[in-house]
Amino acid sequence: MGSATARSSKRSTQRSVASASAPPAAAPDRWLSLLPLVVLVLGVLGLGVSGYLVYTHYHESALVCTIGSCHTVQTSKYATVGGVPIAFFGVAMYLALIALAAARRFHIGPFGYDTLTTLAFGTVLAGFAYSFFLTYVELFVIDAICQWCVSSAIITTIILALEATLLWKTVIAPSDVSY
Amino acid sequence: VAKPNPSRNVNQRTQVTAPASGGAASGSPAGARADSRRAQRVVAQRKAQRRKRLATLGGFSALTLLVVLAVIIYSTRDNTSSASNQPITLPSLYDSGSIQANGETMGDPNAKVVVQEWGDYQCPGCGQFARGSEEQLVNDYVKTGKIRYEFHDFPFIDARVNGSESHDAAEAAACAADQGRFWDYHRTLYFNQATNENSGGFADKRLQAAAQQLGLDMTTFNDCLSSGKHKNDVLDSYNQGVQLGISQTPTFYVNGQMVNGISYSAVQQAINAALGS
Repeated sequence: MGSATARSSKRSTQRSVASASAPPAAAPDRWLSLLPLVVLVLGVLGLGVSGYLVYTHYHESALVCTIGSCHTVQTSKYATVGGVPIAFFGVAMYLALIALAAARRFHIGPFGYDTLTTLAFGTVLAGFAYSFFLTYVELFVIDAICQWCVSSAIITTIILALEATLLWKTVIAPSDVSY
Repeated sequence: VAKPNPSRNVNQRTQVTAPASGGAASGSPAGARADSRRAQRVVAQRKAQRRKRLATLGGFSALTLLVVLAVIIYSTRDNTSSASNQPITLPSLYDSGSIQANGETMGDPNAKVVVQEWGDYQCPGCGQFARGSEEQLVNDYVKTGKIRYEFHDFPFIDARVNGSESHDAAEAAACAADQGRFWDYHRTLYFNQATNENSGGFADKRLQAAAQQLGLDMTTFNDCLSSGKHKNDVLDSYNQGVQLGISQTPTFYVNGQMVNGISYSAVQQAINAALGS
């Protein structure tokens, strides 16, 4: 990490001054630096799922109507926004999350770690909120569950938890500072 | 969107730290007191910064959720009202002089081969077949007297996507059949499918507009539709389909044999096999 190495050296100076009693932060830092990688892997999984849903929106469901829940969910009025299948939004979100995770893990691009983390959190928060709404619709409005949509919702929820942890531990309240 | 500026935060953190580490390192009691006061100040500043970052994040998150909410409201409103307001456009109709149509069947009543399609008016696959291949089927096999072609209602989508438009459309088509115009009406519906099921595409208003444009007797048609004259016919047809074990639409049968596949070539192959035997 170009910026992260700089940051950790800053942190060690902070630590020596602000809190002599603080535990060595090396272990938690290592753990946190692995989280973007986990998000990256989950993002690729989510991309696969939503990509499959885009494909079926145009292929399978356009050809046959099967008596199956996925079809029901995918052809309901909630499946498109202004004519665009929501699976496309899923693909866009996972691509963004993958890019933001990769940029942090492999130090690519012009943006700082904090900006990337904040953007990733906002992106996955929006995705989570929309997934939450869609799962509610599946359960209580159209009474059908689409396993792929639920898979995507679960992946999004896990990524939200990871990004929230990252945001809290590294941007809002870095653990190397004791209050 | 006003982004928080984390890079500035990092700088501030460094600035706050710098004088402390570079400052009095004398080890004298006075120096230690100054150190601890400075440390306290640093802690207070950090707390303030953390509050500020949290507030910025809160605003950012709230804004994100507002945008999502707006999209949700837009998406749920958008589709419900518009489909029922779309005009009906008439497709090119089959030349009624060259086909014998009787109710929901067409072609020679004594044809050696009977082809059945089980379909739902809201099913995109059925629409694709009706718009793409049906005309060829009619030209190649119905007009030439080789097959009798039957359409059977299998309105299963309503049970899956909360609504009644598959049933309503099937009943309306039966009402058109009463006036000898089943195939024209059938074709018109498939050419005017809505993108989304039960979103108003086959609301009564549009079913009536289709009948009107085809020049049906509207008093009879409206009475037929509103009285539910063919409600039970449609339900019976659906139950027959269930008993046959139909699980998707369109499903084709050639002389009682289910066709494996829904492409024109699959249907054509099955017909040719039946004609050859």
